[in-house]
Parts: sequence; C-alpha cells; structure tokens
Amino acid sequence: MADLFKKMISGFFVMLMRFFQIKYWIFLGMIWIMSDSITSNLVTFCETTSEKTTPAVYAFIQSSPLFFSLYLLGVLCLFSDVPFCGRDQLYLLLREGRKKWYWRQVRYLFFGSFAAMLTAVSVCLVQLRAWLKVTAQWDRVLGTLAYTDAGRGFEMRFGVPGRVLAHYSPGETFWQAILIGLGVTFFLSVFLFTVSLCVSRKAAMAAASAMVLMCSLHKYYPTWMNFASPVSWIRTTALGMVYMDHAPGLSWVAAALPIVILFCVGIGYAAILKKDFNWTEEQ
Amino acid sequence: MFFKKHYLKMDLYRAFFSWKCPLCILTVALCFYWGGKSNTVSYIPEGVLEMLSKAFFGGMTWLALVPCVFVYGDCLCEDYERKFFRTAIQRGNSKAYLNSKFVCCFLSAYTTMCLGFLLSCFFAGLFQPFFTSEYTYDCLCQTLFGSLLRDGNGVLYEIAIGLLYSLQAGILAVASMALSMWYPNRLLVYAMPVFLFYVIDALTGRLPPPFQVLYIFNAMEGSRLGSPLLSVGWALLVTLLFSCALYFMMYQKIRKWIENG
Repeated sequence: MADLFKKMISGFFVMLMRFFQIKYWIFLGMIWIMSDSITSNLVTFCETTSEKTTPAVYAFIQSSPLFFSLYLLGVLCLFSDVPFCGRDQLYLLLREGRKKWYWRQVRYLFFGSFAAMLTAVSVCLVQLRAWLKVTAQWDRVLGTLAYTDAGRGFEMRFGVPGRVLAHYSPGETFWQAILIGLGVTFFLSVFLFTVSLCVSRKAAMAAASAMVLMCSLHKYYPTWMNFASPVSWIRTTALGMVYMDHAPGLSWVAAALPIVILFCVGIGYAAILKKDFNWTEEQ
Repeated sequence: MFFKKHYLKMDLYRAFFSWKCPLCILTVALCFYWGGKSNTVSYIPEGVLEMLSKAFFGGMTWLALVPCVFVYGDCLCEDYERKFFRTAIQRGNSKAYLNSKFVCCFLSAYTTMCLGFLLSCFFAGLFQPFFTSEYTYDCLCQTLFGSLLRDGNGVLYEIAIGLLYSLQAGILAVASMALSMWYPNRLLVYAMPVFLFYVIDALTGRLPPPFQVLYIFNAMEGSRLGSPLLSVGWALLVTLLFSCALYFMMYQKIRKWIENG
C-alpha cells in the first residue's frame, strides 16, 4: 500500500515537472495579458459605480470570443508536442508497453487541461480580486450590464445576456462555465492527441486551429454551424438560450461532451495499438 | 562592407519566399478586421474609419504583433538549433551576418504589419463605405494625419497610419529576435512582442505623451509633439535608438557565441 502511494506521488510529481515548463509560463503570460485587456473595462465600471460583482462574471468573460479563442489557442500551444514521441517518451513506451503508456498520456492530458482551466479562472479572479464578493443573488453590476446599455459606454468586451441572469443563479453559472470549459479543453487536447496518432501532428494542429477559429468567427457563417463543433460549447452563456438559434441545451452538452471525449479516446487507443512509430521523423 | 550580398540574399529569400509570409499577412489583416468588428456589446461599426478606430482604441492591435514576428523573428533560433550560424559566419563575418539578420527581421515584420493592415482596410472598403459617422470623422480629422482626411485623401491616410504603426511591429520583432540569442525558444520568441508591448505600455503609459513609447507609433491618437512632422520624426528617432541598443546587445552576444564555439 505504501509502495503504491509512493508510486502515485512520484508519478504526480513527474507529471508536474513535465507540465510546468517554459510553455506553461508563456501560456500564463498570454492569459494574463488577455484577461487584463478584457477585465480592465469592468474594473473601471466597478470603480465608477463603487459596486462589487460576483465571481460568476468569469462565465461571461469565458464566453467572449477574444477570451476563449486565445485561451484555446494557448491550449494548442501547450500540447503542441503531441503525440509525445520525443526524447524520454520512447523509452517509457518501450518499457511499460503501449497500453499503459497511452493511459499515462490521457491522464497527463486531463491534468494539463485541468491546470490550464484553473489558470484561466485564477488569473481572471485575481485581476478582479478587489471587486469581487460572493453572493447567492446576481449583483447590480451584472444587472446593469445586462438590462441597460452601460456596457456600450464602457466598451465592455463581453456580453451579459439577461436570460442567463433570469434562468440561473451565480453559483450555477460559475460551475457550469468551469466544468464545461474543462470538458472542452480536455476534448481539444484528446482530439489533438488522437489525430496526431492517426494522421500526423500537422493535421492535428490544422484541424484543431480550424475548429477554434471557426468558433471565434461564428458571426460570419450560418447560425446552424455555430455549435456544430464541440469546441464552440465553451460559450456556456449562449447554451440553451432561446435567442441563440440552434444552440444546444446545457443538459444536452453535458451528455454529449463525455461521449465525444470517450469516442476520441477510443479511436486513439485503437490507433496506438496499430501505429508504426517512425521515431526519427517524430523527433 | 556593411552587407555581404550572399547573407542578405539568403535572408531575404528565407523571410519573404516562404509560406509564412502570405499566411502572416492574412492573419494580421484578420486581426485588424476582427478587432474592428467583433464586440459583443458595443455598436457594430459600419465604416472603414469606424472599424480602424475600434481596432486601435479597443486595444486589440497587440494580437497582430504575433504573426509579424512569426515570419522571420525565429531565424536566429533556427540557426542556433542547427548550428548553422558557425558555418555562415565562417564564410563571411559576424557583423555582416548580424546586419543581414537584423535588417531582414525588421523588414519582414514591418512589411507584414503594413500589408496586413492595408489588406484589412482594402477588404473593409470593398463591403462598406469609408465612414458613416460624422462624429468619428471629425474626431479623426484632429489626429496626426487628419489633414490628409480633410483633403479627401482617405487612402493616403490609411497608408500613413500603416507605415507609422508598422515601425512598432518591426522594432518589437527585432527585440524578440535579440532575446532569442539568450533563450532560443521559438514559442517564447513568438510571444515576446506581446509581453514587451504589455510591459512597455505599463512602464511608460503614465509618462508625459512624447515618452509614451507605444503611442507615438499610433497615428489614430492625436499628435504627440504638436506638428505631424515632429511626431513622425520622433517616432523614427525612437526606432533608431532602440535599434542601436538592440544591435549593440546582439553584437556582444554573437561575439560570445563565436568565442565559446
């Protein structure tokens, strides 16, 4: 039992060491700059009105095209070394076998997605720290932004749909955003890994970038395509809203997201058993 | 000789005749267009001038810095990774090698930003009028190149803005390339202009107007020194000063590279 625990701890530290490298710090810097440019107007608004807002404001920030597109592009950079066939991974794969190695990579992807999501949430909340208060009811700041055109005057870079305020509590909105955001991030990373195993790294990056860009430029193509890709489900404040044509409901997304993730993991598992690694090319 | 022909020829070829160049120009155009158009709350601008105003004042222009450095900012990383710089310097000299890299990096970023910016204006101009709001037009007439607008030279106005603003992209790309000599990591090189932009903005944003380093390149703002000629001259001087400082740093580092083999 003690050995197992030791193994788990050492495995976790290996994962930490693998994840927190220069790429992560660049990701953190970019997220910081981007969220600063988004939240600065909200801070000005809070200063002007001397009112505080709830942490649930993160859900609205996450749904803004600037935030989620740059966040997801950052996630692509974090996992740009898929299918992890460089350097020491070759020896690990040979030593522990393909199946074990594959599940280790899936665990790493989940951990990476979790860390990325946690980073995004923390950075936003840290930047708004002076203007946050935890309440069960929606605050005046978000109410004003939703029901008046104050946001226009302050050049807000995110929208606050009144229907979200009417349908959900701040807690529900916050956790929905985090859980679905985590799911979408994990989906994107697993998708990258699977496509890189089945086709190539370039194809994986191209397909994932196309999905992210399509999601960001959703205003410029037919509405029925807006939510076709699972990546677009990260716009949680648009899900299940009547004014958004073809927007899937939250329960539908909550059911479909694990299914598409499992589908990608399954395909990747089948691919790893058959893949003929060309090590020199991969490195 | 300041330049060796074969260095310059090779670097120009690598910078401008690769798939990166057209892709980055398109990306810069997309960044400006998107920056000027997308906002979930504010009104959707309908004219080219409104779009430009929104792109610059909305603070989205930093996004366009990444593709500019992507074109050729990582050239020293490439040379360092493959140890190509040793052979290259042995065939000529370190000064000419550095001059060529410096000029090509600056030119590639400058051209990418300028062409991308003009492309976004061109596309916007195809589908929408030059301006729809008299208020925006009147405000922009008071800016650095406002006299061109008043004389009805809208296209020249856009070109002037693009030419001045691209200086910033050029100098930030060279700064990223310089930093890549200390830490040769490509992802860091691509992200560095944004970090520098943020840091410089934070450091100089509260200084008197002529010393707000990033704003002197932004012609959508008012004239920083009274007359347009002085403002443009000041921007060029700042570019030159930064270039000299960066060149000196890079030259010292490349000498160490050679000494250490």
